[in-house]
Amino acid sequence: MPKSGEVRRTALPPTFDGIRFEIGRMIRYVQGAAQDPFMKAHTKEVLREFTDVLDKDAQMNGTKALAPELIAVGAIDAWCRAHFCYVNDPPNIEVIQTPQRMVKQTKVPSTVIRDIIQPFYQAMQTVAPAEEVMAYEPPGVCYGDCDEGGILFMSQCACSPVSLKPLRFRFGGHEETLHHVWDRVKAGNDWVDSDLTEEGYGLGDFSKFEHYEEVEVPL
Amino acid sequence: MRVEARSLDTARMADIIVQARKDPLLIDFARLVAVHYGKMVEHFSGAEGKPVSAHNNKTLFLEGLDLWCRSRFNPRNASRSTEDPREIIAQAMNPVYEALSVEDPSTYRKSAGELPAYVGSPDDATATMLGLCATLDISPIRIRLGLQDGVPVRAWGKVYADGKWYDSDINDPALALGEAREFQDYDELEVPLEMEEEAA
Repeated sequence: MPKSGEVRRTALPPTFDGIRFEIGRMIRYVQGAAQDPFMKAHTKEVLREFTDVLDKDAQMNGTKALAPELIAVGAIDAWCRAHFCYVNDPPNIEVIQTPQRMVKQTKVPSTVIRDIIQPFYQAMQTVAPAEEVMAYEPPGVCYGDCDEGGILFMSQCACSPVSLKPLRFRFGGHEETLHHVWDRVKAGNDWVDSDLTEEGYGLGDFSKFEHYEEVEVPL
Repeated sequence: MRVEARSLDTARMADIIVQARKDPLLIDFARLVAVHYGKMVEHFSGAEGKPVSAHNNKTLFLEGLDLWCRSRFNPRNASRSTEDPREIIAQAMNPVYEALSVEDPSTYRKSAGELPAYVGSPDDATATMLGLCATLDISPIRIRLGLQDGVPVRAWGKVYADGKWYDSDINDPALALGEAREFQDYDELEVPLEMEEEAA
């Protein structure tokens, strides 16, 4: 298990044994996060902020209260969609970051990011007024492919003070390969899918494949 | 892993690109720079009423990497210099790694300080930029050569993003992404990024 701030990168194993190895690693990362006080505190905060917004909305619009499990899964999904940016892995290399590292990435101060992307501030001034460009604050984001998106969402579900179980990784593929992964969580009486990797998807949406497999994360 | 090529320089460039795609520093850096450039474009294009989505937009990612390398891998005034493009990236990323190593990164306050000026080989700078593209699977990637009397006199990158090829010559300040100098003749070397690796 990598320490906080570390990341593991391996050559992509092209066989089913290799895929099983990667799945095992994803499960271990979620299990590790479930025991991590940092991840628990972060998830608690995500739920608190989301519940505050829902409470205000209910007061203003008289909307009906949802089941706590659906509120929890909705809060985690919304936080992930606001902070996770999809990027491809390098060819033939599997990059998997721990959920702790991804959550921490979102908390790196904007001043630090701003220093790195300084050349963009100069370039943007050719298309927008200088004062508007200089006022731009880089958002807190993290990055990864479908594995990492799946781990990010699933880890927070595993840390939720409102019980979200069972947790499953779902895999989809064509022609005897599995090439995409997303999450499926039992929220109260409902199974809910979450796939962070497609633009325009919301909670419950997932892509269609020839065949699917599921692996439960033992907690 | 060595790549057969037409000259020693292109073999070295191809090797730098192939190795970059498994370099943790370059992977982290490319992800950060490309995504933040995309976010910035989303922000200002939206404000202009012509929204552009940065969602896995490899053309924007390429543009961001090209822009950054064009700015930082060219001579400029600085108290220190280096011939290694990776050293500039390492110093730029140092505060990010330090922030990630503390319990609450939001409390981190240091900056990278002045980055060293780049005084190394233009071909190394080009190869590093193309290697950053490789880390995001912005590919295929080609090294393009400008020939004079049959002899290669200049090398730059040619990258495929979202269905289109782009020339990237970060060593010529007069050019932008998509532009290249004219030569009598041209040659190209495709960088083999799909080579099998031994599992770690």
